Amino acid sequence: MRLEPWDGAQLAAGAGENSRRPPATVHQRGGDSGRGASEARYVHTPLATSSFRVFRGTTKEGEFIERKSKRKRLLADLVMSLNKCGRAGMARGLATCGLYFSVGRREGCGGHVLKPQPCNSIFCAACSVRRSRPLQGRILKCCHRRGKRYWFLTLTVPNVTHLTREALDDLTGAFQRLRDSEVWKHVKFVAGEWQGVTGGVYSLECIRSKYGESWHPHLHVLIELPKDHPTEWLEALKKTWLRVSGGGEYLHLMRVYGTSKSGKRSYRRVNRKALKELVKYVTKAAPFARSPELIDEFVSAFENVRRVQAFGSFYGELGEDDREPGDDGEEVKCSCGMYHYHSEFCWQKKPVRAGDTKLMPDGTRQLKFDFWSETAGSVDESPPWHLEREQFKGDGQMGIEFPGILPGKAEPYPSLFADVA
Amino acid sequence: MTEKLYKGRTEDAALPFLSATFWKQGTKVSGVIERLFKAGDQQCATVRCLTPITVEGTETDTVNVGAMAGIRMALQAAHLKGFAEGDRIWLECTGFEPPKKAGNSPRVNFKVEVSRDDEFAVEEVPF
Repeated sequence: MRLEPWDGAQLAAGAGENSRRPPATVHQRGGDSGRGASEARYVHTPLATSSFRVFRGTTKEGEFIERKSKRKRLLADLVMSLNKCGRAGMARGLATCGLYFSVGRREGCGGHVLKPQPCNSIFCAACSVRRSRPLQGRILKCCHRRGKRYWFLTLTVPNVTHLTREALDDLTGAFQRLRDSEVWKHVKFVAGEWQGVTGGVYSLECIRSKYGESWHPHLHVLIELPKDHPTEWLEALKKTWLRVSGGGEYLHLMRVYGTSKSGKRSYRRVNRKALKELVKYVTKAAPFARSPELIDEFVSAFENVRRVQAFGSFYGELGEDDREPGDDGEEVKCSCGMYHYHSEFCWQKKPVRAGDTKLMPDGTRQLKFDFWSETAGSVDESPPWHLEREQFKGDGQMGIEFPGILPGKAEPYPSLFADVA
Repeated sequence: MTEKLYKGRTEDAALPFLSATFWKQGTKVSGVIERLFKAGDQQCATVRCLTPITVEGTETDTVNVGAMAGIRMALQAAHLKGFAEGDRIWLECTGFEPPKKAGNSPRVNFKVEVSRDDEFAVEEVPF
């Protein structure tokens, strides 16, 4: 193979994205044929010549494809397991999350608004992101108090073989006892009085351990500490946690840091990225997604359990996490282009498929073909939906006359069924 | 009866590997895949470069490329499972991804272009 100085800029040379090189069928000069004959020409076809295909890709694109396929596989496993353990409703919701929208109609303008129908499943990655984002924003607002520093505390308890609601209640109960303890309230002695942990947010998580075939429930806590707390406080905290949790030996305390675009850590500013680990709502279900028994165990244990909870100075700041756009009395954008209150819309029972909707440039979603506004909304009278029977008025076969063609008047044909009648 | 003769030298096989330390943002390597081989569990490829490159202080025109995560992902994006012998490849380092877990090495990101002859295409080996 002859090597050419080839720098990979195949695009510049005219090659399409992962495409075959276009065949070149051109007239070629065959050279002079002699004795005054004209120049011989032949058609050069791509037959019997090799064709190259160009494939192009980047790591970033590959990462996206890999992540997407992993998510798809995990979703399929989860849906199958949920169906097997008798939770068909949850499986259907998870499989169709984001595929249906409820339609709200407004009498005055005749416009509509579409509202997504999320599954809110504990395993749904899309719903986790949607629910955690506003919560992260609310927590972030509380993380800029003067004289305070923000730390991540991870509290663990020994692994459990069977995950139950009681095991989770024990963990949150132990954390409540820790908050009531002396060590929690006495962090630093300043100007004749004790300063303690003033508030924070905790999130309850549970992962499946690969090695011990057991569950590992733990708490991620964001705590607000006084500036420059003594280092020996951590030792005292560890001892207290071991006592109140009944065997929780591992406790990890880390200063909250933000990451800049270049990847550098900044301890001065807390940003949204730093809070992602705390409020992410994501269940790491990959290790047990294929086991219906474990899925059932997990869902039963986490049923009606509040996974994110604020305490102390953060209490009441989070609001309700299951709010949708418009639920807070905010205005939503109607298809007529105006903003109206959520309560002004009349919501249809039957949802529409995502395929019947389109995403507008402003980010809102509208129906591709709004049947109501196109037909019923624009016509004054309702069209006749019911067919009415009409009596046939015919008394025998009609004769067809051809004046001028036939000499006389055409004789009508006798009825074919005349004899039968 | 005809007899075939095969010759080989250890030095030819012991080519320098293009490890993560070789790659810097903007580094480009282009060449032809000469052969594919396995080193342990890892699938590797020998590339005959179009222009000689300097690896660890020595100039060479033939190098080995290991199955780095960045190359594997880029090939996946290009709808390829791996390289095949005779492929004309072009690799460009586009940057580094910091590791998510402490102790892991950063991932090298690539832009890959593979030009493959359809007629002489041999089976591609998953990278």
